Amino acid sequence: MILRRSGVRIGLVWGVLSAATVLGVVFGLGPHMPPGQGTPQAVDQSTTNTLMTALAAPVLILIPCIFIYCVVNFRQRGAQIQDGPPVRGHGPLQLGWVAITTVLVLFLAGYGTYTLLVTSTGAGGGQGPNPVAVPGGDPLQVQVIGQQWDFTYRYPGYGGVETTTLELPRGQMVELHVTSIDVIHSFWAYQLGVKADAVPGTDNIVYVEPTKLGSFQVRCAELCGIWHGNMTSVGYVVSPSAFRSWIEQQQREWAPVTKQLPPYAPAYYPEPVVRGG
Amino acid sequence: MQTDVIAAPASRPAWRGLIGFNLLTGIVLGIVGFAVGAWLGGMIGDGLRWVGQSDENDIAIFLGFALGLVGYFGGLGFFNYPISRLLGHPPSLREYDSEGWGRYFRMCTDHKVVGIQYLVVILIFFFVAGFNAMMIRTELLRPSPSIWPADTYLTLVGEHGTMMMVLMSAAVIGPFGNYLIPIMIGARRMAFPRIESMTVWMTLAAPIVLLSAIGLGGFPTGWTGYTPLADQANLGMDSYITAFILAGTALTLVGFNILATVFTMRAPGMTWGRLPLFVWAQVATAILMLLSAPVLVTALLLAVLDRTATTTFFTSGNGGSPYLFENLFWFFGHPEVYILALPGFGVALEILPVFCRKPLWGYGMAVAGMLGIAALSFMVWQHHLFVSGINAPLRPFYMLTTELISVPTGFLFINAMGTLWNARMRLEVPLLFVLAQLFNFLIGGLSGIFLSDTPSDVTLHGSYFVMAHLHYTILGGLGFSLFAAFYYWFPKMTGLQYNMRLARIHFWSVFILFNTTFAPLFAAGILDMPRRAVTYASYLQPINDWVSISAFLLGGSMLLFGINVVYSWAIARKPAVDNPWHSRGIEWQLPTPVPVHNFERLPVIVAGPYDYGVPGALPVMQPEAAAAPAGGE
Amino acid sequence: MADQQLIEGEDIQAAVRNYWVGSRLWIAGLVFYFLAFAFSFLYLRSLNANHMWHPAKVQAPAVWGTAIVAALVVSAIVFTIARTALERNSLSIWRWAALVAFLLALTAAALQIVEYRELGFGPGAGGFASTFVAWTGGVLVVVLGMAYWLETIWATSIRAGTTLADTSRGERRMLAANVEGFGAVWYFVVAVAVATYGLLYWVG
Repeated sequence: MILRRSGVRIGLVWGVLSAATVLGVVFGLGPHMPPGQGTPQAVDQSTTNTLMTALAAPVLILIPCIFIYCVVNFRQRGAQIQDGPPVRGHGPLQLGWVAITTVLVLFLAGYGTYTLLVTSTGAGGGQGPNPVAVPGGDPLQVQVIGQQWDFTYRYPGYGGVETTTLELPRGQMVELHVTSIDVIHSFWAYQLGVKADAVPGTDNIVYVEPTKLGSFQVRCAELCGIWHGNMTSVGYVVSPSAFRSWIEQQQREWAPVTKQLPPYAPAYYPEPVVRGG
Repeated sequence: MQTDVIAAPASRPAWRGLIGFNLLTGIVLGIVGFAVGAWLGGMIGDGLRWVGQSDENDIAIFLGFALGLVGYFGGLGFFNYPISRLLGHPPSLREYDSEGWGRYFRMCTDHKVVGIQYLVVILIFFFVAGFNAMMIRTELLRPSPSIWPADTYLTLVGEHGTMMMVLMSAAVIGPFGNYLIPIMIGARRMAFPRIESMTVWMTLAAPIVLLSAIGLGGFPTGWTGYTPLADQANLGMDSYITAFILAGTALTLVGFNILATVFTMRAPGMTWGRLPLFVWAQVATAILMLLSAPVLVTALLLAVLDRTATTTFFTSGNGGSPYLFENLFWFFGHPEVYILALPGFGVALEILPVFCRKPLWGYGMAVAGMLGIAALSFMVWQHHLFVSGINAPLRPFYMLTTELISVPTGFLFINAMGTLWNARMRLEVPLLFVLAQLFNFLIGGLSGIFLSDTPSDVTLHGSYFVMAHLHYTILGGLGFSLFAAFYYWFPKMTGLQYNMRLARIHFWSVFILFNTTFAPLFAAGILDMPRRAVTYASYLQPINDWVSISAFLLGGSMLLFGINVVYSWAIARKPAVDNPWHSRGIEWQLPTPVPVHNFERLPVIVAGPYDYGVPGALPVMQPEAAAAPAGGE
Repeated sequence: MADQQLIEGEDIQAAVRNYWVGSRLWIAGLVFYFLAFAFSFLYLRSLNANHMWHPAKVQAPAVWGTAIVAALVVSAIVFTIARTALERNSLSIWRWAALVAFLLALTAAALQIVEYRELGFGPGAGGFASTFVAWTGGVLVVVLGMAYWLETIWATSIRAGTTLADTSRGERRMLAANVEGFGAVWYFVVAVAVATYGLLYWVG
């Protein structure tokens, strides 16, 4: 009976704390959850982050509740050592625990697969040269080239011009082709919800559709040498007309350079670093 | 039967003790070997066109390390036995029955000596790598490089990460596994005691080789050693590769030895259902070690060939691929993550029943959980590569397998809660550490679910969130279990008491400071701070300053632990009673210090190890096996 | 009781079981060691990065490969003869056959080293060339280790002399267990070597 009452007490405390936390997470934290609402990909990530936090919170509260309750109530002191009841398990409880955790996990895996493949065309992660989640229509092609220690961008639809900043038109599906010409980098456009490794010799494709005007932060998310932390820049989402005038200006400005560049290709193979010594 | 009697003449001067097969000889021959190897490598390099084109000669460094290690192991006496076998001498085990300090400084096949050697090695380098972490945090007080040049910072990061990975892989299984497994299964020794002894000397050599990178220009890759960054790197990379090959070989051998021991050396009556959970956890870990570490060794051998023999495994322009290294590395790397978790769960579930004075709740479930984690951990490695651009169609599969691992991990948590429920808990220091370990691992595990799900991993991959997650599981989980194990078994292993008050202060400070140090890093990560970056956005400085200061205090709290170890072990030397915790574990039924052959006569196991409060429970073993041979020689 | 013999301070039954279990565990570890090479082969072959997997001019010399495989297979067959002879207690046949098996393993290793000198392409000539050099080298290291193991068994049986004839003695039981364990690993390694050279030469 005492144990049953203990269970009810823990359940009450846990229920109240969890309900408060989950509500706080969903309604308080949720709207501000990184990476924000700038693209459908980012929205899906922040929804997933919120969902995970909301599901993790009750577990994170339950187990310490039980620990603390046990430590406070089931404790003995003194020189005389008493042994507890020799209970070795409880079949239904064990089965129930397995069932609940399995269901939760399968739900999360199913939800993750659904967002990954259906709602946000790859969830902003690099899908490699043969993407499985492909949007319809005619996306804008942009190549992202990582090198130590900067990202540059080529627009094959605009004569293969290579720019030092990334500007994207709002409301247009973009197909980013991320690659590298030296070591592995990772192209992380935080507010866009995009992260894709830039691997030499590989065309890593990401789909993203910016829906909000403004700037976004670009970083490198894979250790690439001493100035890894400095490999940052700012990109912009602009209106389609502003994008058109910007890219035309870039084409004019960089025309002499564009002529010297190697022809646009999904991946570039610079002279390999053959190191015998 | 052959026994070696080492009779020392009474008049032998003290310095003569330094001559012979011991650590000193090993170090001297190691240095000589390195010099010879580097010279030979220089000669070879002079004749090779591709070395002539570069200003660095990796062949000389690798050959130096190889011959240096040959000299080191030869000096320690590891080649005596293989050579005598080559000449056809039958097996003969040289055991240093004689008491004394000397046997701790040479190859010794007594598993208890090996356990203590491991403990000392682990503790020393734990503090070295921890000191590295302090230097990293000092640099991160400012958002741009201020104290060290950026390349030095990366070397510090790499040294810290790699050394901790190497050490923590052996942190519980090395000292406590080697010391306790034979005793817990009722055996006199390990199945392959020379291999056992070799692994501890490898575990000592690996961090030293790794530290030599500082003299060779450092290495920029962190503990993952990704190519092609590693191909660009200067000679310090060779130290990383050699150290990790050594560590990988040691892991394989440890796993091999422990599995063989548990399979063949169990005492009569030690059925699989009576095996202590500590041993079960080491068995699950050993499976992972035996099967995953060879892949790491091969991957690193390919890296050696890329750097010395112009092969192009990881150069995409010439028929190779950086993905090859990523795949091979993480095929080892993910089981490695559980090599870093399972031993800790073994410690937790071993200690819980003793202080709860109850049988372990759900023994079979715990075993199933550990073996389930071990089996699943081979099928999850590409979750480290969700955004890398490989195998997009397989992502849902890896997402599913990774999330499924939380089911067997959940088994272990309900075992713990069931054992705590309605217990008669004695809140001693080991139990406090176990509870804290489970709490930390819970946070580590729940944050891991964020990383297992591709959409949220796209936000968090490569950020400080990952770094916080892995520190919660490794330091918060395994590190705390190392402390729990230390405080629990120290009286048995050394026969000494530690300072209980200092231990309690250590617990509360380390528990609080650990959480104040690493919890804010989850926030730093989700607010877009990339890992291993020496420069970061200035709005993250308040978080980083808080974390740095908290980390310094955490380091100070670790010093309390170090002081307690040194004080209790070397200075106070207060003898402990045989069984201070009133445990049923076999190791506690033996006298302290444990005799060289563990058991006078082979024991017969007649009851399970956790039968606390069971009416009429038999003592766990009867000292004499009816048909067993007499002990000793 | 016959089992009351101690080997290295341990019950001989445990020592004999150690050989059995140890050899099987060793095979398990070797499986993953070789899997890494096999994975490199299949992975780089399927990627064919920059069309540099296997340029036409890279041709592995088939004669040497065949000779190496033949030496290993014959060594395994001769070892089987040796093992059978030991089981039938014909010790002199065992000694000669084991010696021949050992020398054949060494021959295979020597042939491999000769092949490296006669390759006709460098290790940098693409993915196949790299994998060829590394994988055959990985097999070579294991073959040398196995040759060492066989030599210790052979040398022990020479030194033990006629005492080995008594099958109830501890030394003899240990030797038999050792031979059995070696056999398991050696057959496995030879099978891997055959598969390796088959993949490298035919599939390429």
